[in-house]
Amino acid sequence: MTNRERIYSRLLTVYPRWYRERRGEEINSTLLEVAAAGGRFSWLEVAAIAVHGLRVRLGIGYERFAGDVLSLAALPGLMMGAGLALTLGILGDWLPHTTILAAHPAPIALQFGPFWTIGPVLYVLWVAGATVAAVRPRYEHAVAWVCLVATLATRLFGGLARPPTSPLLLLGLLGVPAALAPRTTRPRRQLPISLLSGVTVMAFIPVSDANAPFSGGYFFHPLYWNWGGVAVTEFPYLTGAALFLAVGMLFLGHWRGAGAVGLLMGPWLLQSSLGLRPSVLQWYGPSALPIVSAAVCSAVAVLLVTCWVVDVRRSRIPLIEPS
Amino acid sequence: MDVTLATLVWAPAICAIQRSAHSGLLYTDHRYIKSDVDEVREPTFLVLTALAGGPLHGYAIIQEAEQLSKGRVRLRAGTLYATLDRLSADGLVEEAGEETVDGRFRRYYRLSKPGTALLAAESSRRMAVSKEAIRRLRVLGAWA
Repeated sequence: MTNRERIYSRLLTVYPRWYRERRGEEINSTLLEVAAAGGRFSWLEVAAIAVHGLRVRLGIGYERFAGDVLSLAALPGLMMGAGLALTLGILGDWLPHTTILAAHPAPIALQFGPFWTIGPVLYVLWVAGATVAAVRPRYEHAVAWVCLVATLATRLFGGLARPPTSPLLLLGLLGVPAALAPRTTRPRRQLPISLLSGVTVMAFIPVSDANAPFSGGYFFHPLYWNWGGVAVTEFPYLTGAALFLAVGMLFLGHWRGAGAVGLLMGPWLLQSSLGLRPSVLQWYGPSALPIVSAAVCSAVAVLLVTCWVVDVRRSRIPLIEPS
Repeated sequence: MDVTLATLVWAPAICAIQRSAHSGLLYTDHRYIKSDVDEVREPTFLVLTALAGGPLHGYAIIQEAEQLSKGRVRLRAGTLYATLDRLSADGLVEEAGEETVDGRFRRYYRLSKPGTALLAAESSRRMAVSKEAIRRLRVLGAWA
Protein backbone atom coordinates (compact mmCIF):
# COMPACT_ATOMS: atom_id res chain seq x y z
CA MET A 1 0.00 0.00 0.00
CA THR A 2 1.49 3.35 -1.03
CA ASN A 3 1.56 6.41 1.20
CA ARG A 4 -1.20 7.99 -0.78
CA GLU A 5 -3.42 4.92 -0.50
CA ARG A 6 -2.81 4.90 3.24
CA ILE A 7 -3.75 8.58 3.53
CA TYR A 8 -6.93 8.11 1.49
CA SER A 9 -7.87 5.04 3.46
CA ARG A 10 -7.49 6.92 6.75
CA LEU A 11 -9.23 9.95 5.28
CA LEU A 12 -12.43 8.01 4.77
CA THR A 13 -12.85 7.68 8.52
CA VAL A 14 -14.11 11.27 8.51
CA TYR A 15 -17.36 9.84 7.15
CA PRO A 16 -19.85 8.16 9.46
CA ARG A 17 -19.98 4.37 9.31
CA TRP A 18 -23.29 4.16 7.39
CA TYR A 19 -21.92 6.48 4.69
CA ARG A 20 -18.57 4.64 4.53
CA GLU A 21 -20.38 1.36 4.04
CA ARG A 22 -22.41 2.89 1.23
CA ARG A 23 -19.85 5.02 -0.57
CA GLY A 24 -16.44 4.46 1.07
CA GLU A 25 -15.08 1.96 -1.44
CA GLU A 26 -16.40 4.02 -4.34
CA ILE A 27 -14.82 7.28 -3.13
CA ASN A 28 -11.53 5.49 -2.43
CA SER A 29 -11.53 4.04 -5.95
CA THR A 30 -12.22 7.45 -7.46
CA LEU A 31 -9.38 9.03 -5.47
CA LEU A 32 -7.00 6.25 -6.55
CA GLU A 33 -8.04 6.54 -10.19
CA VAL A 34 -7.32 10.26 -10.07
CA ALA A 35 -3.93 9.42 -8.57
CA ALA A 36 -3.24 6.69 -11.15
CA ALA A 37 -3.99 9.14 -13.95
CA GLY A 38 -1.06 11.24 -12.77
CA GLY A 39 -2.98 13.67 -10.62
CA ARG A 40 -0.66 15.25 -8.09
CA PHE A 41 -1.38 14.74 -4.42
CA SER A 42 -3.40 17.71 -3.28
CA TRP A 43 -4.15 18.82 0.24
CA LEU A 44 -7.14 20.67 -1.20
CA GLU A 45 -8.51 17.29 -2.27
CA VAL A 46 -8.00 16.03 1.27
CA ALA A 47 -9.69 19.16 2.68
CA ALA A 48 -12.65 18.74 0.30
CA ILE A 49 -13.17 15.17 1.50
CA ALA A 50 -12.76 16.20 5.17
CA VAL A 51 -15.34 18.99 4.85
CA HIS A 52 -17.75 16.73 2.99
CA GLY A 53 -17.33 14.07 5.68
CA LEU A 54 -17.98 16.61 8.40
CA ARG A 55 -21.14 17.78 6.65
CA VAL A 56 -22.39 14.22 6.26
CA ARG A 57 -21.68 13.55 9.93
CA LEU A 58 -23.60 16.65 10.96
CA GLY A 59 -26.43 15.83 8.57
CA ILE A 60 -26.05 19.06 6.64
CA GLY A 61 -24.76 17.64 3.40
CA TYR A 62 -27.94 17.81 1.40
CA GLU A 63 -30.81 17.89 3.87
CA ARG A 64 -33.00 20.79 3.04
CA PHE A 65 -33.53 22.48 6.39
CA ALA A 66 -30.08 22.47 8.00
CA GLY A 67 -28.25 23.12 4.74
CA ASP A 68 -30.50 25.98 3.73
CA VAL A 69 -30.47 27.56 7.18
CA LEU A 70 -26.67 27.45 7.26
CA SER A 71 -26.47 28.89 3.75
CA LEU A 72 -28.83 31.71 4.69
CA ALA A 73 -26.92 32.48 7.87
CA ALA A 74 -23.46 32.24 6.26
CA LEU A 75 -22.86 35.72 4.89
CA PRO A 76 -24.86 37.59 7.58
CA GLY A 77 -22.77 35.68 10.16
CA LEU A 78 -19.51 36.76 8.51
CA MET A 79 -20.79 40.33 8.26
CA MET A 80 -21.83 40.37 11.91
CA GLY A 81 -18.37 39.07 12.75
CA ALA A 82 -16.81 41.80 10.60
CA GLY A 83 -19.03 44.42 12.28
CA LEU A 84 -17.97 43.20 15.70
CA ALA A 85 -14.32 43.09 14.63
CA LEU A 86 -14.48 46.58 13.18
CA THR A 87 -16.05 47.93 16.35
CA LEU A 88 -13.49 46.24 18.55
CA GLY A 89 -10.71 47.47 16.33
CA ILE A 90 -11.80 51.09 15.95
CA LEU A 91 -12.92 51.67 19.51
CA GLY A 92 -10.54 49.35 21.29
CA ASP A 93 -7.28 47.86 20.21
CA TRP A 94 -6.68 50.30 17.41
CA LEU A 95 -5.98 53.07 19.88
CA PRO A 96 -2.22 53.69 19.99
CA HIS A 97 -0.72 52.71 23.31
CA THR A 98 0.15 56.31 24.17
CA THR A 99 -3.54 57.30 24.22
CA ILE A 100 -4.41 54.48 26.56
CA LEU A 101 -1.39 55.08 28.76
CA ALA A 102 -2.34 58.73 29.04
CA ALA A 103 -5.85 57.80 30.13
CA HIS A 104 -4.74 55.12 32.56
CA PRO A 105 -3.52 56.14 35.99
CA ALA A 106 -1.00 53.30 36.33
CA PRO A 107 1.68 52.33 33.80
CA ILE A 108 0.86 49.22 31.83
CA ALA A 109 3.32 47.21 29.78
CA LEU A 110 2.81 47.04 26.04
CA GLN A 111 1.63 43.71 24.80
CA PHE A 112 1.60 43.67 21.01
CA GLY A 113 3.67 46.27 19.23
CA PRO A 114 1.91 49.61 19.31
CA PHE A 115 -1.38 47.97 20.28
CA TRP A 116 -2.69 46.40 23.41
CA THR A 117 -3.48 43.04 21.91
CA ILE A 118 -2.98 41.05 18.74
CA GLY A 119 -6.64 41.89 18.05
CA PRO A 120 -6.06 44.39 15.19
CA VAL A 121 -4.48 41.68 13.01
CA LEU A 122 -7.43 39.39 13.63
CA TYR A 123 -9.99 42.13 13.12
CA VAL A 124 -8.49 43.24 9.82
CA LEU A 125 -8.56 39.61 8.71
CA TRP A 126 -12.26 39.33 9.58
CA VAL A 127 -13.22 42.55 7.81
CA ALA A 128 -11.17 41.67 4.71
CA GLY A 129 -12.53 38.12 4.75
CA ALA A 130 -16.17 39.22 4.95
CA THR A 131 -15.57 41.67 2.11
CA VAL A 132 -14.05 38.95 -0.08
CA ALA A 133 -16.93 36.57 0.75
CA ALA A 134 -19.47 39.26 -0.16
CA VAL A 135 -17.84 40.01 -3.50
CA ARG A 136 -16.71 36.49 -4.39
CA PRO A 137 -19.12 33.88 -2.96
CA ARG A 138 -16.93 31.03 -4.17
CA TYR A 139 -14.31 31.95 -1.54
CA GLU A 140 -16.82 32.05 1.31
CA HIS A 141 -15.86 28.63 2.70
CA ALA A 142 -12.14 29.29 2.52
CA VAL A 143 -12.54 32.72 4.12
CA ALA A 144 -14.67 31.33 6.92
CA TRP A 145 -12.17 28.58 7.72
CA VAL A 146 -9.23 30.99 7.67
CA CYS A 147 -11.08 33.35 10.06
CA LEU A 148 -12.08 30.47 12.35
CA VAL A 149 -8.57 29.03 12.52
CA ALA A 150 -7.04 32.48 13.09
CA THR A 151 -9.53 33.20 15.89
CA LEU A 152 -8.82 29.87 17.55
CA ALA A 153 -5.05 30.37 17.16
CA THR A 154 -5.33 33.81 18.76
CA ARG A 155 -7.12 32.28 21.74
CA LEU A 156 -4.66 29.40 22.06
CA PHE A 157 -1.37 31.07 21.27
CA GLY A 158 -2.01 34.75 21.83
CA GLY A 159 -0.67 34.65 25.37
CA LEU A 160 -1.21 37.82 27.33
CA ALA A 161 -1.58 39.78 24.12
CA ARG A 162 -4.82 38.13 23.12
CA PRO A 163 -8.19 39.86 23.31
CA PRO A 164 -10.59 38.53 25.97
CA THR A 165 -12.25 35.18 25.36
CA SER A 166 -15.79 36.61 25.05
CA PRO A 167 -15.30 38.52 21.78
CA LEU A 168 -13.19 35.69 20.40
CA LEU A 169 -15.96 33.21 21.20
CA LEU A 170 -18.51 35.46 19.52
CA LEU A 171 -16.32 35.89 16.45
CA GLY A 172 -15.68 32.17 16.15
CA LEU A 173 -19.32 31.18 16.51
CA LEU A 174 -20.45 33.77 13.97
CA GLY A 175 -18.14 32.21 11.37
CA VAL A 176 -19.39 28.65 11.86
CA PRO A 177 -22.44 28.86 9.51
CA ALA A 178 -20.25 30.07 6.62
CA ALA A 179 -17.70 27.34 7.29
CA LEU A 180 -20.31 24.58 7.21
CA ALA A 181 -22.81 25.92 4.66
CA PRO A 182 -23.20 23.43 1.83
CA ARG A 183 -24.08 26.03 -0.82
CA THR A 184 -22.54 29.36 -1.60
CA THR A 185 -25.06 30.55 -4.16
CA ARG A 186 -27.36 33.13 -2.70
CA PRO A 187 -30.17 35.41 -3.73
CA ARG A 188 -29.18 38.98 -4.53
CA ARG A 189 -31.17 40.40 -1.61
CA GLN A 190 -29.00 38.53 0.88
CA LEU A 191 -26.13 40.98 0.45
CA PRO A 192 -27.99 44.09 1.77
CA ILE A 193 -29.48 42.00 4.57
CA SER A 194 -26.00 40.81 5.50
CA LEU A 195 -24.60 44.33 5.42
CA LEU A 196 -27.48 45.47 7.61
CA SER A 197 -26.67 42.69 10.10
CA GLY A 198 -23.08 43.90 10.34
CA VAL A 199 -24.10 47.53 10.73
CA THR A 200 -26.65 46.59 13.41
CA VAL A 201 -23.92 44.93 15.45
CA MET A 202 -21.70 47.99 15.05
CA ALA A 203 -24.52 50.27 16.15
CA PHE A 204 -25.59 48.11 19.07
CA ILE A 205 -22.29 47.46 20.82
CA PRO A 206 -21.16 51.04 21.53
CA VAL A 207 -24.64 51.81 22.91
CA SER A 208 -24.46 48.75 25.15
CA ASP A 209 -21.04 49.75 26.32
CA ALA A 210 -22.18 53.24 27.20
CA ASN A 211 -25.06 51.82 29.25
CA ALA A 212 -23.12 49.05 30.91
CA PRO A 213 -22.57 49.51 34.62
CA PHE A 214 -19.00 50.26 35.69
CA SER A 215 -18.02 51.26 32.16
CA GLY A 216 -17.93 54.74 33.64
CA GLY A 217 -17.60 56.29 30.22
CA TYR A 218 -14.02 55.07 30.23
CA PHE A 219 -13.05 54.04 26.77
CA PHE A 220 -13.94 51.10 24.68
CA HIS A 221 -11.02 48.83 25.22
CA PRO A 222 -11.60 45.07 25.41
CA LEU A 223 -9.42 44.82 28.48
CA TYR A 224 -11.75 47.24 30.24
CA TRP A 225 -14.96 46.67 28.42
CA ASN A 226 -17.26 45.02 30.89
CA TRP A 227 -18.45 41.98 28.99
CA GLY A 228 -20.11 40.56 32.08
CA GLY A 229 -22.23 43.66 32.51
CA VAL A 230 -23.13 43.85 28.84
CA ALA A 231 -24.04 40.18 28.76
CA VAL A 232 -26.25 40.49 31.83
CA THR A 233 -27.92 43.81 31.13
CA GLU A 234 -27.93 44.43 27.41
CA PHE A 235 -27.73 41.29 25.31
CA PRO A 236 -31.14 39.96 26.43
CA TYR A 237 -32.82 42.97 24.77
CA LEU A 238 -31.06 42.21 21.48
CA THR A 239 -31.99 38.56 21.70
CA GLY A 240 -35.56 39.44 22.66
CA ALA A 241 -35.86 41.60 19.54
CA ALA A 242 -34.42 38.77 17.47
CA LEU A 243 -36.95 36.38 18.98
CA PHE A 244 -39.81 38.63 17.87
CA LEU A 245 -38.26 38.80 14.41
CA ALA A 246 -37.99 35.01 14.25
CA VAL A 247 -41.59 34.49 15.42
CA GLY A 248 -42.78 37.07 12.87
CA MET A 249 -40.93 35.23 10.11
CA LEU A 250 -42.49 31.95 11.20
CA PHE A 251 -45.94 33.56 11.00
CA LEU A 252 -45.15 34.67 7.47
CA GLY A 253 -43.97 31.17 6.58
CA HIS A 254 -40.28 32.04 6.22
CA TRP A 255 -39.24 29.10 8.34
CA ARG A 256 -35.71 28.87 6.93
CA GLY A 257 -35.19 32.59 7.54
CA ALA A 258 -36.45 32.17 11.10
CA GLY A 259 -34.00 29.31 11.56
CA ALA A 260 -31.16 31.50 10.26
CA VAL A 261 -32.11 34.30 12.69
CA GLY A 262 -32.18 31.76 15.52
CA LEU A 263 -28.79 30.41 14.49
CA LEU A 264 -27.20 33.86 14.30
CA MET A 265 -28.64 34.79 17.67
CA GLY A 266 -27.08 31.67 19.18
CA PRO A 267 -23.69 33.21 19.98
CA TRP A 268 -25.28 36.28 21.59
CA LEU A 269 -27.74 34.15 23.55
CA LEU A 270 -24.86 32.02 24.71
CA GLN A 271 -23.01 35.11 25.91
CA SER A 272 -26.12 36.24 27.79
CA SER A 273 -26.49 32.83 29.37
CA LEU A 274 -22.87 32.96 30.49
CA GLY A 275 -23.98 35.92 32.61
CA LEU A 276 -25.27 33.29 35.01
CA ARG A 277 -21.70 32.41 36.00
CA PRO A 278 -21.03 32.88 39.70
CA SER A 279 -18.14 35.25 38.94
CA VAL A 280 -20.54 37.56 37.10
CA LEU A 281 -23.41 37.18 39.53
CA GLN A 282 -21.23 38.24 42.45
CA TRP A 283 -20.87 41.64 40.81
CA TYR A 284 -24.34 42.10 39.39
CA GLY A 285 -26.45 39.96 41.69
CA PRO A 286 -29.20 37.62 40.54
CA SER A 287 -31.02 38.96 37.51
CA ALA A 288 -34.00 37.64 35.58
CA LEU A 289 -32.53 38.73 32.25
CA PRO A 290 -29.86 36.06 31.82
CA ILE A 291 -32.34 33.45 33.03
CA VAL A 292 -34.82 34.56 30.37
CA SER A 293 -31.97 34.59 27.90
CA ALA A 294 -30.96 31.04 28.81
CA ALA A 295 -34.61 29.94 28.45
CA VAL A 296 -34.88 31.58 25.03
CA CYS A 297 -31.54 30.02 24.07
CA SER A 298 -32.87 26.57 25.02
CA ALA A 299 -36.16 27.14 23.19
CA VAL A 300 -34.40 28.25 20.00
CA ALA A 301 -32.02 25.28 20.23
CA VAL A 302 -34.93 22.84 20.71
CA LEU A 303 -36.83 24.41 17.80
CA LEU A 304 -33.83 24.22 15.46
CA VAL A 305 -33.03 20.65 16.44
CA THR A 306 -36.70 19.67 15.99
CA CYS A 307 -36.80 21.18 12.50
CA TRP A 308 -33.48 19.54 11.69
CA VAL A 309 -34.55 16.08 12.88
CA VAL A 310 -37.97 16.32 11.17
CA ASP A 311 -36.31 17.32 7.93
CA VAL A 312 -33.56 14.72 8.06
CA ARG A 313 -36.09 11.98 8.79
CA ARG A 314 -38.35 13.17 6.01
CA SER A 315 -35.52 13.32 3.49
CA ARG A 316 -34.65 9.65 4.11
CA ILE A 317 -38.20 8.43 3.55
CA PRO A 318 -39.03 7.66 -0.09
CA LEU A 319 -41.33 10.33 -1.45
CA ILE A 320 -44.86 9.05 -1.91
CA GLU A 321 -46.78 9.75 -5.07
CA PRO A 322 -50.01 11.66 -4.45
CA SER A 323 -53.19 9.76 -5.18
CA MET B 1 -44.30 29.69 30.54
CA ASP B 2 -47.88 30.82 30.17
CA VAL B 3 -49.93 28.46 27.97
CA THR B 4 -51.12 31.27 25.70
CA LEU B 5 -47.58 32.55 25.22
CA ALA B 6 -46.30 29.03 24.60
CA THR B 7 -49.00 28.49 21.97
CA LEU B 8 -48.15 31.82 20.40
CA VAL B 9 -44.50 30.86 20.09
CA TRP B 10 -44.76 27.19 19.18
CA ALA B 11 -47.92 27.00 17.05
CA PRO B 12 -46.49 28.91 14.09
CA ALA B 13 -43.29 26.90 14.36
CA ILE B 14 -45.18 23.62 14.16
CA CYS B 15 -47.35 24.97 11.31
CA ALA B 16 -44.22 26.01 9.47
CA ILE B 17 -42.69 22.55 9.85
CA GLN B 18 -45.88 20.97 8.51
CA ARG B 19 -46.06 23.43 5.62
CA SER B 20 -42.45 22.77 4.77
CA ALA B 21 -43.32 19.16 3.99
CA HIS B 22 -44.37 20.32 0.54
CA SER B 23 -43.04 23.84 0.23
CA GLY B 24 -40.10 24.28 -2.11
CA LEU B 25 -40.98 21.05 -3.87
CA LEU B 26 -42.15 20.69 -7.42
CA TYR B 27 -44.18 17.69 -8.56
CA THR B 28 -43.01 16.40 -11.88
CA ASP B 29 -42.87 13.01 -13.51
CA HIS B 30 -44.49 11.30 -10.52
CA ARG B 31 -41.88 12.64 -8.12
CA TYR B 32 -41.19 15.72 -6.09
CA ILE B 33 -38.05 17.65 -6.93
CA LYS B 34 -36.83 20.86 -5.41
CA SER B 35 -38.38 23.82 -7.13
CA ASP B 36 -35.52 26.12 -6.20
CA VAL B 37 -32.98 24.25 -8.30
CA ASP B 38 -33.21 27.04 -10.85
CA GLU B 39 -29.88 28.17 -9.44
CA VAL B 40 -27.81 25.51 -11.19
CA ARG B 41 -24.16 26.16 -10.46
CA GLU B 42 -21.54 25.31 -13.00
CA PRO B 43 -20.21 22.11 -11.35
CA THR B 44 -23.78 20.81 -11.10
CA PHE B 45 -24.48 21.78 -14.69
CA LEU B 46 -21.31 20.02 -15.83
CA VAL B 47 -22.18 16.85 -13.90
CA LEU B 48 -25.69 16.80 -15.39
CA THR B 49 -24.30 17.45 -18.87
CA ALA B 50 -21.70 14.71 -18.44
CA LEU B 51 -24.40 12.23 -17.42
CA ALA B 52 -26.55 13.23 -20.40
CA GLY B 53 -24.08 11.27 -22.55
CA GLY B 54 -24.89 8.04 -20.70
CA PRO B 55 -24.20 6.37 -17.36
CA LEU B 56 -20.79 7.24 -15.88
CA HIS B 57 -18.83 6.38 -12.73
CA GLY B 58 -17.19 8.92 -10.40
CA TYR B 59 -13.81 9.27 -12.08
CA ALA B 60 -15.36 9.32 -15.56
CA ILE B 61 -17.62 12.19 -14.45
CA ILE B 62 -14.54 14.13 -13.26
CA GLN B 63 -12.82 13.54 -16.61
CA GLU B 64 -15.91 14.41 -18.64
CA ALA B 65 -16.51 17.61 -16.66
CA GLU B 66 -12.89 18.65 -17.24
CA GLN B 67 -13.22 18.05 -20.99
CA LEU B 68 -16.57 19.84 -21.22
CA SER B 69 -15.13 22.88 -19.48
CA LYS B 70 -11.95 22.77 -21.60
CA GLY B 71 -9.89 22.09 -18.49
CA ARG B 72 -11.28 25.07 -16.60
CA VAL B 73 -13.15 23.06 -13.96
CA ARG B 74 -11.55 20.10 -12.24
CA LEU B 75 -13.99 18.57 -9.79
CA ARG B 76 -12.53 17.30 -6.55
CA ALA B 77 -13.82 14.01 -5.20
CA GLY B 78 -15.36 15.70 -2.14
CA THR B 79 -17.18 18.20 -4.35
CA LEU B 80 -18.28 15.49 -6.79
CA TYR B 81 -19.82 13.25 -4.13
CA ALA B 82 -21.47 16.19 -2.36
CA THR B 83 -23.03 17.12 -5.72
CA LEU B 84 -24.07 13.53 -6.43
CA ASP B 85 -25.59 13.24 -2.94
CA ARG B 86 -27.61 16.39 -3.48
CA LEU B 87 -28.70 15.43 -6.97
CA SER B 88 -29.66 11.94 -5.79
CA ALA B 89 -31.61 13.35 -2.85
CA ASP B 90 -33.45 15.68 -5.22
CA GLY B 91 -34.19 12.75 -7.54
CA LEU B 92 -32.24 14.24 -10.44
CA VAL B 93 -29.76 11.39 -10.87
CA GLU B 94 -30.07 7.71 -10.08
CA GLU B 95 -27.76 4.75 -9.77
CA ALA B 96 -27.27 2.65 -12.89
CA GLY B 97 -25.28 -0.35 -11.73
CA GLU B 98 -21.92 -1.28 -10.23
CA GLU B 99 -18.84 -3.16 -11.33
CA THR B 100 -15.30 -3.83 -10.18
CA VAL B 101 -12.50 -3.09 -12.66
CA ASP B 102 -8.85 -3.89 -11.79
CA GLY B 103 -9.88 -4.30 -8.16
CA ARG B 104 -11.53 -0.90 -8.09
CA PHE B 105 -15.18 -0.54 -7.30
CA ARG B 106 -17.23 1.64 -9.63
CA ARG B 107 -20.79 2.80 -9.25
CA TYR B 108 -22.49 4.25 -12.29
CA TYR B 109 -24.96 7.12 -12.32
CA ARG B 110 -27.43 8.29 -14.92
CA LEU B 111 -29.86 11.15 -15.35
CA SER B 112 -33.39 10.53 -14.13
CA LYS B 113 -36.36 11.97 -16.03
CA PRO B 114 -36.65 15.00 -13.72
CA GLY B 115 -32.87 15.48 -14.10
CA THR B 116 -33.20 15.39 -17.88
CA ALA B 117 -36.06 17.92 -17.68
CA LEU B 118 -33.99 20.19 -15.45
CA LEU B 119 -30.95 19.97 -17.74
CA ALA B 120 -33.15 20.77 -20.76
CA ALA B 121 -34.70 23.77 -18.99
CA GLU B 122 -31.32 25.06 -17.79
CA SER B 123 -29.68 24.55 -21.22
CA SER B 124 -32.56 26.38 -22.88
CA ARG B 125 -32.25 29.25 -20.41
CA ARG B 126 -28.48 29.52 -20.91
CA MET B 127 -28.85 29.29 -24.70
CA ALA B 128 -31.43 32.08 -24.75
CA VAL B 129 -29.11 34.33 -22.74
CA SER B 130 -26.13 33.43 -24.96
CA LYS B 131 -28.10 34.14 -28.16
CA GLU B 132 -29.11 37.53 -26.84
CA ALA B 133 -25.51 38.24 -25.80
CA ILE B 134 -24.27 37.34 -29.30
CA ARG B 135 -26.98 39.46 -30.93
CA ARG B 136 -25.95 42.49 -28.87
CA LEU B 137 -22.24 41.86 -29.53
CA ARG B 138 -22.97 41.75 -33.28
CA VAL B 139 -24.69 45.10 -33.00
CA LEU B 140 -21.57 46.42 -31.33
CA GLY B 141 -19.43 44.82 -34.00
CA ALA B 142 -17.58 42.85 -31.35
CA TRP B 143 -18.63 39.41 -32.61
CA ALA B 144 -16.92 37.91 -35.63
